[in-house]
Amino acid sequence: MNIIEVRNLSYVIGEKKILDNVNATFTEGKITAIIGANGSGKSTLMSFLSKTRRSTNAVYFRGQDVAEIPAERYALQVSVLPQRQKMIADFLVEDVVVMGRFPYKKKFRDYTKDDRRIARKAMESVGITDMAERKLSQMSGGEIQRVLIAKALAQEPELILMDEPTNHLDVKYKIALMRTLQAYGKTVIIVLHDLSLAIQYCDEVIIMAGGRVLTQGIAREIMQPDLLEEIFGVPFVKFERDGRTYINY
Amino acid sequence: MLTAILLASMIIAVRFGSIEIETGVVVNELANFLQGFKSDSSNAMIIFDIRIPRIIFAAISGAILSLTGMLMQTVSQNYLADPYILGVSSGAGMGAVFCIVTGIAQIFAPYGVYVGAFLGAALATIIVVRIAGTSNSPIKLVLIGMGISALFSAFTMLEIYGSKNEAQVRSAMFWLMGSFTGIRWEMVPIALAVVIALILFVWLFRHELDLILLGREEAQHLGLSTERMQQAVVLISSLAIAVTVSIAGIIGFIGLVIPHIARFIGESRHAVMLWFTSLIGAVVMVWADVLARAMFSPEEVPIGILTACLGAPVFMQIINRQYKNS
Repeated sequence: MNIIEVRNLSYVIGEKKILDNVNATFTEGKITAIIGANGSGKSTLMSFLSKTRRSTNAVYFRGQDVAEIPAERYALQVSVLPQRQKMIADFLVEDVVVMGRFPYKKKFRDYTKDDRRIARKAMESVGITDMAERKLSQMSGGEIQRVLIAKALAQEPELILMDEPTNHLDVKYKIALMRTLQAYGKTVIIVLHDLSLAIQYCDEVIIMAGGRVLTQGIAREIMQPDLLEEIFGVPFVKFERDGRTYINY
Repeated sequence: MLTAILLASMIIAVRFGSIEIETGVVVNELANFLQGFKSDSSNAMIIFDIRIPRIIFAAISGAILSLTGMLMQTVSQNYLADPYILGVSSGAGMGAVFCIVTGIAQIFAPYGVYVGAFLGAALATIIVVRIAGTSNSPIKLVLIGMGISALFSAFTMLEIYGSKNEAQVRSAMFWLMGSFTGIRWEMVPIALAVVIALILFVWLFRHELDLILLGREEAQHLGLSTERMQQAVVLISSLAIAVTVSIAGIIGFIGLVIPHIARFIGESRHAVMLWFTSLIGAVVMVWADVLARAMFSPEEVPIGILTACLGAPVFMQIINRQYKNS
């Protein structure tokens, strides 16, 4: 079953084709990585999936054109972790995580006890429970990233969209994040630079180049050294050890 | 606690002015008044007809300016935003003077000046938002605001100098520097209505404002229409600034500085910020006004000069800090 599908999506700025007739399907319950060189259109594709950029008759969520789904209803199904932006807010961690419950909140009311409980659970799963009462201004980039990941989980979405969520994270937390996403068990679409993470933790992969989808399929099968070399311009090696697949350059 | 400080400040503040009245006398007069009788002494007249409405208005306008500054900072995600710095106050001043000079004010009497100020404030805000657009540079927004401020202040001056009937317009100093001189009881209800509307607005949308402060994109992904919130804020802050500027002229920096103090001693959530910002804003304005009256008594210093003396250094300090961080 596909949860979200992209049909013939093109996006042009001036003369430049950012996305060129993109077609892609994302399987329900799977983790799909989007990989590709800088400027290949990964983030732009994500922005259409998250409805940050508008499209018509191009992106379908469970068969329905996303253009027809109001933002407040989409937020009940899809949570988005955008690429890090500058933030001036200085909230407490627990107050940020509970904001993931906003789509469920009654208008003009406060967050309920249930919302707080779900937020705490999300903090636990990302391992930030002990930071609950710290202020964002006292945290590192990686820690803030984990807070935002907890917020995305607190939203209890069917689909999680993450654009380079591992950028500010230490190796330990990169792996922890991927394991958390696996344990969450819902659909995840994730833009990744780290190809080792993609091949180890993602079920499927979409490889992009020059605004097009080069190929899509099972991560272990299609992430081959010669194809990756063609895309990234450096030689790759792929090897197995203790039943795990590694890719390196 | 802050409410108590505010009330105490307001009572003590009655003492100061061109004629000093002992706080004991003030308390006596107030106690008499609360028991139902008002003496005819000149003290009572000064207290009840001049000082009290002025102090109440000062407190309310302090809260209005601070809350408006807070809203602007949230919506622009820029802690340098403030109705004065963004040129909104100058826009209101220009609109007000324009209506007085051209006589349009009389058409909508008695609210003509307010209407003009509102249109001017809205115009200035729309120009700032249009030019600064979605730019993430805090400094760009400030510089555009300064440009607009300079432009509208110049227009105000032109209107005043071009005016045939000098009695129609108050002094140029009034529109540029603000003053609480001549506040009467009639002006209190409209200011009260505005501050209640502001408080209600912030309270009802406290969670929405929190989301916007976290990030516009984050807020949109959580299903919030940030444009609609932005429009609502533009509307209500233009209204608020129009009323304060029409009555008291342009008073700068309060909207910038007070939310910073509130954030420092309170926290960033709007449910909390609301009370800290409005109460601290009220207290600071009451004391700034006391200073304005007492400093060169019996002469009065325009309140805007004092708020600029206090606020401008803080403004520079914030810029300095923001640039160090980025």
